Amino acid sequence: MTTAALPQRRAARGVGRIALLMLNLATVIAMAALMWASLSYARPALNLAGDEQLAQRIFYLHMGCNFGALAGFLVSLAGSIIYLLTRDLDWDRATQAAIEVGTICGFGTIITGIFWAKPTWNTYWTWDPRLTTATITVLLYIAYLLFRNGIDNRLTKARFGSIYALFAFLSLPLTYYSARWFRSIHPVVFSGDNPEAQGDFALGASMTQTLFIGVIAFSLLFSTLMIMRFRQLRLEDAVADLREEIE
Amino acid sequence: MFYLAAAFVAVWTAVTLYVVFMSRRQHALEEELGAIEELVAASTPRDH
Repeated sequence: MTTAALPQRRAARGVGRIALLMLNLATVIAMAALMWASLSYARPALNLAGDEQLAQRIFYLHMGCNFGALAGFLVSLAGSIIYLLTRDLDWDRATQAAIEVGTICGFGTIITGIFWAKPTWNTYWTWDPRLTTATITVLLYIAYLLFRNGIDNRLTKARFGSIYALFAFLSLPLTYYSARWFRSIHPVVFSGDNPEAQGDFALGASMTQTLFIGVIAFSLLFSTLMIMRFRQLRLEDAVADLREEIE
Repeated sequence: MFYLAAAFVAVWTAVTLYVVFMSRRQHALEEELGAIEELVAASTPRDH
């Protein structure tokens, strides 16, 4: 690197830090807005009562988590394909970071669903096609993280991870269509045209707006956590390289 | 009320635990980097 390039690099790093700080701030504001909207602003579902009516508010968090997970697994698909084409380790780091955050959101989707199901279906869990496929998806991505950690060679880890992530993504369309293709009691929120799928519902204006806030808040949360973890993984690799050089 | 509170607490706990994990990892990395820097400084011969 030339001496003249150093100030430019420092300036770019400063801009990056400010951008990340702004993203953090936007995430905090959006999450606070989601809490307010889901607990206070959104009107209660008039066709429900008691615990079921209160639990309906879990829906906004459930859908937010769902979008966070979807974003994570979509980024992992893109990251793994690009890594296999370019062999640039940054894409492998992006894949890992996206899967970690996506898995947290996927776990959030399942756990919020469990607490919604009890007052609604009178059971915490049932082996419904949607619930089962969603759980398999999260378990597949947990397995990705566990298997990765068992590989020592950095390049083998990246290659294995990318190929695994490609195959793991196949469970996503299966999860999405499970409530449409199979007999399911899970509500179909978007374009539910399967007469077998029960619990189809319409959303009022305040509910739609809250859902929209939830999607934005969780997209921001996903982006913030993913970028921070990506930077950390880059630092981890740099430290490992330095350690190898010294030894 | 229990189900609503439990769902919100569960999600926030998961996010918080992940942030704590990242924070601890970052701390460990910075310490390791500091140790490497010290090692490099100690092994580099001085000109004067």
